Amino acid sequence: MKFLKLALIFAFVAFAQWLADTRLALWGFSPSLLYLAALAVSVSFSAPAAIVFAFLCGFYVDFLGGSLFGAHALVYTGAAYFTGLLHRRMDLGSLPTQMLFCALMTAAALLALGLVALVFAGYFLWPGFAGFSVIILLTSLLSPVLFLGTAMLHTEEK
Amino acid sequence: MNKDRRLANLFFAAFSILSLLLLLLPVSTPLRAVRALAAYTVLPALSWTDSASRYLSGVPENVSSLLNAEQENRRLRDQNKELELLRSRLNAALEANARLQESLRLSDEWKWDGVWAFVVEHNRERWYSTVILNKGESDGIALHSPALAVSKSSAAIAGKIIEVYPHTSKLLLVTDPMFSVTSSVDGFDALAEGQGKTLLRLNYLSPELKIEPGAELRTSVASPVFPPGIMVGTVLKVYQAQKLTPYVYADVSPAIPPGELKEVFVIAGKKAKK
Repeated sequence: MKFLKLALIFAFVAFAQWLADTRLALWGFSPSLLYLAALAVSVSFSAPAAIVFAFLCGFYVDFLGGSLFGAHALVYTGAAYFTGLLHRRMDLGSLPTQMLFCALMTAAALLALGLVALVFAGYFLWPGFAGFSVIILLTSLLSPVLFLGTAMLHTEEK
Repeated sequence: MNKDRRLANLFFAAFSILSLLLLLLPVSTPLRAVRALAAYTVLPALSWTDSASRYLSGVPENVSSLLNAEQENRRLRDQNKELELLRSRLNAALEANARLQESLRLSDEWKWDGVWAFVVEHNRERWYSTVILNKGESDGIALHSPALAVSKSSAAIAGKIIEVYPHTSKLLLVTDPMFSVTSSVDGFDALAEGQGKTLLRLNYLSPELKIEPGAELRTSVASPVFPPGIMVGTVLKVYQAQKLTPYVYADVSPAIPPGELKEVFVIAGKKAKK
């Protein structure tokens, strides 16, 4: 049942990401919904399931992205692991904390992607300051929706 | 360290290594196979999603277009009804125009002076009795004036004026029981009288007279009101003399049935010679 729910979340978020990228992009930038889903799942589901889910989300983004195949998978997997460690020590139930946490994690992911690109491709992958800000802003604004949806599914399981 | 945490550590290490392998070996054969497999599964789904999205994005426009077409359809239907009404009125006007032109042309040839008047109201209770005309004393119509109408391109009697008002007048129809006119058929005079129904009765015909159905009845020179030679009607049936009626009488179809009367020519006097 848990895997079915995770598959459902993945399908929904993949569709939402496609919609955001193709139809709802703001100045050419869209929120990282799959990354957000990986974080939300890490908070609500068990750590092993969250890591598999995060890897698949990253792999999916890599597959669609084309360049640096595996970079997103690596970063998303790391983020899921880190979130799994962290959420036991801090309360991510309140809305401002979720948003702040997501903003920080998104910024960290963007920087990590840049560093991975620097190591493996020889250049720092940087979306520009405006892109960096917009992606963080949009992702953090949408974080309560995904956190709430994921938590609701998880509550039923409990 | 619990089981979940150990498993998480293991998964993290495994998937991190896998990701690093993906980064290190982007063109290796196994990786290409994985990418090809993903392409076969993910890309069609994306393509279908895109097609569905494009299809659905056209729905509001199509619905709007459908609603506009419906409104346009209603508007055109209403317009069509109005045009149909207008067409029927136009046809009626054209028909009246042709009839009036014919009447005017004939009246020019007539030797009487007078005025054309329209029938504005029929007597609903006694249909064969009287009608109201739209011309009256101010138009030159006088009491007991004879009124003619056009039937088959010739003049026929319509009745006589029995009431005159400043701008209207009442016409007693030939079919009213109070109406009678001295008429001539085959050179013999008789009295044509209304009966309050469609047919007139021609009374006081001599038993020796041989009148056949279809004979034309015209006003006689003996008529004090109507000029001679005006069409009254056509003989339909002849009844032989009986004990109580020692004369022959006949049913006559009036030249102008009351229902067909639209306009009449009321004679005011003889035309002045040019």
